[in-house]
Amino acid sequence: MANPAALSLREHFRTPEQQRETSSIGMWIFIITEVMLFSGLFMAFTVYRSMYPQAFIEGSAEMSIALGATNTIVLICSSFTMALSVYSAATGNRRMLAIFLIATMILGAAFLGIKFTEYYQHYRDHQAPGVWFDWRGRDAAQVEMFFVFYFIMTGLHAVHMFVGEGLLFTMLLRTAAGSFSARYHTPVELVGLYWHFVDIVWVFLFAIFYIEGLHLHHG
Amino acid sequence: MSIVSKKVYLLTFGGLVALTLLTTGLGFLDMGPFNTIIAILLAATKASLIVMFFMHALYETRIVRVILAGGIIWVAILLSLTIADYSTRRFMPYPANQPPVAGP
Repeated sequence: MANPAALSLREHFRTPEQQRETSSIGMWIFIITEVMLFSGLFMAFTVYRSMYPQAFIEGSAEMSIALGATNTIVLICSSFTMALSVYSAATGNRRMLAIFLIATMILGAAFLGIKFTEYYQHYRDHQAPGVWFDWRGRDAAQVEMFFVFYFIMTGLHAVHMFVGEGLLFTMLLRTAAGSFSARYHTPVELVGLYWHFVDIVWVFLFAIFYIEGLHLHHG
Repeated sequence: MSIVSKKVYLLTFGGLVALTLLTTGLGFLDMGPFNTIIAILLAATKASLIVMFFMHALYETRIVRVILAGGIIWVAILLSLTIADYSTRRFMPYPANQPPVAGP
């Protein structure tokens, strides 16, 4: 790993502050492109939701609120530990930075574990779209469409979680190598931005998939 | 880059957990169309808490806020124009001499 002093001010920047701001702007623009990616899916969901409101609420009632709400809390906790990682990095506390990065990784893994448990339950109950799909109620094709959105949107979110775990692991290695200090810790901040963004996506997924049909819950 | 205090993070965390419990609790009530509206509004409130405090948008430079505002405006264009299109579109039936069928 390069020595920390060289990282905090590369030769094409005037000041460390300018270097940090440049990286930050780049990350924010990337996050906006991610927002547009997910917005397209949310838009498509909204169109189908307004076409088949009853079927989509019936589908939503099949979600496990216990697992969904737990996962939301788990992800919020992971955002909190991520924020504390950035705080530890900014105050130059490398030990706590490593601890909070590990905590965030564990919470992220717990989220994915619970998520795949849910996937398995939907598969077992013949709710995964495809030839295996079996719906005894009305509007089977429309309910299947709800599950198409459910698997694609939460699946894309899960892919982002895996990427986040990889980024956190990289940050952990670099922390162990002594790359970060109170003076230079921009990568930790940027990974934090990414992680919080993924949390925000989940907040909306939780609202549209789990909450909508909760009042007629039967499973 | 100012360092945000641990207290701010703790309050944000508490707010997010409280809002999640509120969202879940209200979800069990049947409020007709308000189920969706309230769920989305509470989700947007949680998202703003995360953006402002966890992602430091409140403490960032002006250009970052401009980028953020630009993103929100583009999403608004995407949503409003698409909804305007779908809510005014009529699907033409086949054969074409039958009356149009109402869209979504």
